[in-house]
Amino acid sequence: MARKDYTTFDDEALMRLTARGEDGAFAELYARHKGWVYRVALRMTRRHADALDVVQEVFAYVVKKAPGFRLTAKFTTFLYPVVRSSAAGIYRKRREVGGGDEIAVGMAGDEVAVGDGDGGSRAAIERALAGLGETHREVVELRFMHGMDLASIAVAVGVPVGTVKSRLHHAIKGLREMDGLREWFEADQGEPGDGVAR
Amino acid sequence: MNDSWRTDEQGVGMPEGLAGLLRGLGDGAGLGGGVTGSVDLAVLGGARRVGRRRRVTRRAVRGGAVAAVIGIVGGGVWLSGGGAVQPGGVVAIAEDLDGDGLVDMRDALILARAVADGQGRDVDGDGVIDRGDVERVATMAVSLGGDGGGMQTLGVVR
Repeated sequence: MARKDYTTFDDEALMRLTARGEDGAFAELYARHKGWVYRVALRMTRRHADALDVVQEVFAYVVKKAPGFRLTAKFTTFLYPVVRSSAAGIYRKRREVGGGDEIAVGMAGDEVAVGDGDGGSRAAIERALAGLGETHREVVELRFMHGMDLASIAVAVGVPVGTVKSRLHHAIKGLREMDGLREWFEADQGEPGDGVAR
Repeated sequence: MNDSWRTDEQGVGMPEGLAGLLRGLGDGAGLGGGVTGSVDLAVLGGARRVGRRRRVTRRAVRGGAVAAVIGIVGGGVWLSGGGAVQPGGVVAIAEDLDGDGLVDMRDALILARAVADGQGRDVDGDGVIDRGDVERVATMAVSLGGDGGGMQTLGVVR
């Protein structure tokens, strides 16, 4: 019997086939979205090992939820609250056993390290994002880091689109005021310079 | 609605350079390391175990439905003592024993009684008239129209 080409199926169809026990369908779904889940989880947990745990938990949940599943938005929109919940649980467990919750920028080893090249700018952004409230940081990350549109963010976060817009507005306004980022906004308005904060 | 990458509707824009850096952070450029092979194995292995259980359950449900029909058919033969293969009739579908245009439990009942009497019809084409033929009719009766109402045939030719 010829093998099915699952790459041609959309995410909802793959979930239906996963519910029927078709391993290839789930493998395709996993391959499509594991990277995104990992990156979002890494932003939340700041630890590579914890992000991997989140990936496992999220996809175990996906398999469990496959029977009767109906996709009413993008698959990543469905995944986001699952990732968030899983990451929050792992983060809580880490704090309970005495793990640190410091921002992992610049830390070595298992922690998330700042990439080279734009290290200074990235550090400034990380500090600025840490200075935002959690709800504001979340919409900035979903919009600009993870490429979600406003409607998807609204569904993922569970608030109206108007609330998302308001949070985004206030978040960007907050970022403008922060050290290390002001230059980006000034450069964008046509001030001299290459717009790279140093 | 202005849903552009850079600006929100209030016009407080995210500078393109900064947006690009944020995008890079989101892409995890050079950070973390990505999903490892051991995690892939764990996730896919877990899914395979669940999938296997689901396939076994589906087969058991189907098999149970067939067994239930055969049990009912057998009981019906024992209780009713009636029915017979229609003599001389030609039907468009071999499994439609009573020629009513449907393959349903009545057909399975008729065939079961006929097989018990040493007669019947080789509907599954294996050269033998036996319980397998009854199972074939019973399977068809339950596989479509989940209430056992049966499968519409092309019609009867007599």
